[in-house]
Amino acid sequence: MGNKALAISTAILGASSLVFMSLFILFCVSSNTYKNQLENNYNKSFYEVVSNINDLEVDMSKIVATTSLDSQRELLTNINQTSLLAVSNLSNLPLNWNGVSGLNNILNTTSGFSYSLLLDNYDGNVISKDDFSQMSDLHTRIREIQYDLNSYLSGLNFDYSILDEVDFDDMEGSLYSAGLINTESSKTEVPSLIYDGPFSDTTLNKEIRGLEDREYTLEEIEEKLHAIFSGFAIYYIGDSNGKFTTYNFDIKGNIDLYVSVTKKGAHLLTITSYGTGKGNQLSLDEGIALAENFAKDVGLENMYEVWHQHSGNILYVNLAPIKNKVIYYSDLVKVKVDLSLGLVVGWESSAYATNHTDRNFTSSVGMIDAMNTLSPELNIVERNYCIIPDKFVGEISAFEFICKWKDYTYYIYIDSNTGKEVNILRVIKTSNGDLLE
Amino acid sequence: MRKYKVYFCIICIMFMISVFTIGYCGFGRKSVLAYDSSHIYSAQERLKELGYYDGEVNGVYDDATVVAIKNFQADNGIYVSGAVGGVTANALGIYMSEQDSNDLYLLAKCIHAEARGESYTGKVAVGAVILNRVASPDFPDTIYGVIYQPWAFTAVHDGQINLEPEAASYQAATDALNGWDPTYGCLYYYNPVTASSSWIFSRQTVVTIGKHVFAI
Repeated sequence: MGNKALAISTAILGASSLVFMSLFILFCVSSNTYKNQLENNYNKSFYEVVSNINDLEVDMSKIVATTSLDSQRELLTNINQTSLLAVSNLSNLPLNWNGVSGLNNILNTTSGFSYSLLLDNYDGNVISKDDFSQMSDLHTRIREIQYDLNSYLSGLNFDYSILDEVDFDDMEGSLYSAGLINTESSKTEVPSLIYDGPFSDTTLNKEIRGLEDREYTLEEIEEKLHAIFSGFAIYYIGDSNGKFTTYNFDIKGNIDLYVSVTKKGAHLLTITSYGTGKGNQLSLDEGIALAENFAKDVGLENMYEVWHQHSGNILYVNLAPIKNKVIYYSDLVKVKVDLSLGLVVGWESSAYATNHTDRNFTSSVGMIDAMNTLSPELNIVERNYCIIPDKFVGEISAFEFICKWKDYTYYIYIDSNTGKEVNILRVIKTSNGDLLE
Repeated sequence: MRKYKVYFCIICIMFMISVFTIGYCGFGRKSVLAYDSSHIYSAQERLKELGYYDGEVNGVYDDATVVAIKNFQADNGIYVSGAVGGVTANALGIYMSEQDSNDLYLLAKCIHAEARGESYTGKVAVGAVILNRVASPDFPDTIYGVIYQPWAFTAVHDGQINLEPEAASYQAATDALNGWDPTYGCLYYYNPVTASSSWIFSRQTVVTIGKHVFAI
């Protein structure tokens, strides 16, 4: 290579290098901007968590000092909203998810407990002595957390950087997580509270009442499955030992099914499968009839369609027992039908297994009286007696009113014993079928 | 001559370093905002009922759909844009609130990223664990709060959640939202071959589905 050629090549490469170096510098500057934005967002969330905890401590201490219904209502509303905000802000921080579960638990429990007290307050009840005592236990925990968080905050240097303390490739080695979470308060148990409401022990650990006590053998259950899935090959694949203890099977025919049957009571608990067909062989009505007949085949009587959702070739049918004109929504069974194959490809009956026992609709209020409490704007198109699940007391007897306003359809539930409106659902139309929200 | 060769070598090395650095770091992904097909699906369905559209109801925002929307807008005194905004949606009687669809899409994305090599039941099980966490006091109380919790899911941490979910993941997410839970209340799952946390092995195993062990 001559001197001239080498000089030209060097010049071209030099110019290219300058361009690339400029781009590299631009990248570094822009990367630093991203880093600052992230750092700022983390700092904002951290300061908000500390502020939320400080506010919570103040409001929870004020609750103990007031007997006024209105003041308690205002404070309970604040406590409920602030604890939810704190959970949201906490989840924005780069904290070890496992280490932060204790903080989440105390905040969610505070939110659930304050919400249940708030509903009592709307009924005209001031906080009882027992509930004050439980609130006081929660307040003690919040004060401990407040001390730890504020101590951590005041111990930080002026140039402290959350990002510098986080090892994004090693969750367990993250110094930020360790520094913030390994505090005394995070290692103390959440007080056990007795109340009916979100996150309470009664709602999380619901007793299973719908299964026969007798435990069936694997052979007995296989025999039962052969009767339901005649012509299919049945393979036992193992057990589950969670809320339900089950035998699990792979069932193979013109479609592969994953099936679980409870050991107690030999109840068909779940069928899971992917509906892959195209084009519909069955109409919606035929699909609904298939679901109702399948329920009969597995031994569940008086099960009727109360709702369906249709998208493509898949039809979801909600079945509920209907006896003496009462709909038992608490015992809902969900059936998935592949309309193109003309087969039931899904079954979910854990609510039925948990709740189904003989119980009666009870009422202290007449249906007409309940109907008179509805908004005069609504046009009532159907009314029913039902038993519905309730997040506070398990389940309640209620009147169901299906109503129209403009293009909207509403399902309104009124407690048949108290006359109180307990739930309003609205039908929403989506590309995945009609849903209730 | 020797001096030129030294310069040449130095510049070559700088050039290579620059190219590799920029190639490695890249300039970020370009976000593309897709026109939400579920809204178009609802609009097509309603336009067909009203006689403005005779094509397939498929959620595709194609020329025939645009023409139908424009005709409807012109007949109803709405600004003719060919797009479905709030006024057009209201006149059509379709809902633009799609909170459930958003949850479904995010859940499907997480299932696809976390369990795309797993059986269909394994996919539903991953979706159920996410929903069980939403119901547990130990975790955030929304689907997006749980999914985006730092380090909670490997596929969220490394960005695989941004892959487009396949049909089976959508259906698995729908099943999970409808109450299917092959794990019966599990809050954790792990692959025993790749799990590095000793803590996770201390949890009570409920069931094994494919490569994942599900635990409480």
